[in-house]
Amino acid sequence: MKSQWTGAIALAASAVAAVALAHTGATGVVLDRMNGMTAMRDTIAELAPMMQGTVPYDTFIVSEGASVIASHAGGTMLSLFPENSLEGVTYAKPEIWADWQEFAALSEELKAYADALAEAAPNGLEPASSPADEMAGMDHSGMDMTGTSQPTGFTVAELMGYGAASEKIAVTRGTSDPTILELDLTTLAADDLFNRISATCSSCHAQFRAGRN
Amino acid sequence: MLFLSCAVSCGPELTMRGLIRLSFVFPAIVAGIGAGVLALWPIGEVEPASFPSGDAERGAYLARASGCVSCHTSSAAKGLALAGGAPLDTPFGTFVPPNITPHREAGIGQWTVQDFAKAVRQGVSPDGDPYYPVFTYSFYAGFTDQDIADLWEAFRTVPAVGVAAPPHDVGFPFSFRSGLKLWRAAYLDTPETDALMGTSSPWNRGRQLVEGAAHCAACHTGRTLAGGLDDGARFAGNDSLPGGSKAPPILSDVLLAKGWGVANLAYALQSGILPNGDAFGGSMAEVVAEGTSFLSDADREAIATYLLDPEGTGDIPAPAPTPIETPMAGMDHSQMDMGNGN
Repeated sequence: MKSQWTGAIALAASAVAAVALAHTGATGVVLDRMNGMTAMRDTIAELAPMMQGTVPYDTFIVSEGASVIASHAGGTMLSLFPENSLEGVTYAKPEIWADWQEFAALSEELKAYADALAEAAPNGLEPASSPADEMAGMDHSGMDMTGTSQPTGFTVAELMGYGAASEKIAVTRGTSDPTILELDLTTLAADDLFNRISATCSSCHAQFRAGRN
Repeated sequence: MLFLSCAVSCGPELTMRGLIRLSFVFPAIVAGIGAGVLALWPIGEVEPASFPSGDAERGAYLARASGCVSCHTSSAAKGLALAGGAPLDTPFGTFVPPNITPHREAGIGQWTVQDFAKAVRQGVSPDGDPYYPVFTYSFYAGFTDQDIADLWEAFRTVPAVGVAAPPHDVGFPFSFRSGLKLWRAAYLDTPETDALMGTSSPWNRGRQLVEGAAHCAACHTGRTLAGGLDDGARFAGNDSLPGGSKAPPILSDVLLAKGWGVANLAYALQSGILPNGDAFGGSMAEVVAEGTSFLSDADREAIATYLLDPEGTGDIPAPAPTPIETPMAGMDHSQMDMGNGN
């Protein structure tokens, strides 16, 4: 019953989004991929508060939402970006086809993370830091401009941008690195996977999506 | 004098020719004198003879928060750390953030900590030349001696890279560096980052970051024709960013109306995810990936607190319940590195 409601709501939302997007003037494959992006955006909006702990975590919604994202990522997404499909209203940048390998890697990475989240949803969120941990990382420097790197856990080399990037940095940036995907992602906490999904989205948008007027 | 003697002794034709010649020569003479005066006009103040011991960890954190790493590293081209950034196209020319690794020839390996301080806090090179304001040094003017010492210590840990970045491509008259002294006189201000009595610690920390290190106004405030910040349009957005891109307004009322609150704004600065589920694009995504995602949760919340309550009232209204459109989603700086360059 819950699944039916979720499906109905998703369908209604998609229909509304499709109408709204149609009014932007997008057509054909551009409209199709805008619909896909909108569906993923709405899912992220629904899951983000759970990942921040501001609304109760719901395993079922997380798993279903991850499946929605996965269904629009990977090969499905790539099929909606035929070469130089920039006609009409689109936010796609020509760099997509100039650097197709990177674009494809990010799309596949998104699918891998989303598939993993669909399965790993029962893992729940990572436990919050203990008060003792937080005290250890607190900035006791008053109004010192520099703050401190302790709360973030980054090393000097990571902060200055040299040396081997830690997994944390790779996740923050979105990687398009296939070796990252060789891990058993389903063992990770749901919010870890969600962070990887959002980093991948952001990394892709930074490179391949133009801004809006 | 030449003109007067000619006017007295020469006929009407020659007098006219003399006038025409003078119309060419006189401005050139004035320009030459002006250029000479500008070149000789000393700028900058003497930095302290000694600095406190630096802490590389604190310096690295500040370098990341200030955009040093993101601007001076060409991440898209997988360039080496701080060996030179992506070119920045502006109406005044194309600027290339230089190599600031400790390499003695290609970088800043021959600098002293005083040279470094003068460059960062004052925008003046070791040779006494002003840096182009595309390097956002004016936002760093409030850095303390300890901040400088920490930054210096962090920069000295960076592996030296022996390849210099390409020079700027700037045409005349902007290639005349001494002319920037006029710009400095007209526009150079010290940011207001001192703590204010009666305001909270997070708010003051946010003010330090927003007005100083994080230099939010560099993109989110419009510019005058001369490239100075438009004080009348502070945080009101900028439709003329380098590369033809745009930055949306980040005024508190606009942010609140668009559904931003402290929690979701701080989360966006960490994750790149907006309240409506969209993800930052353009170089705001880069700012998050290369900058704000490295900050502590407390600092991200401080930034959000200050932006949403710029007067420091301590009262931040609830954001609009349904974000219709998120202002920063459309930020497209695709041709631009959000950081700074000199």
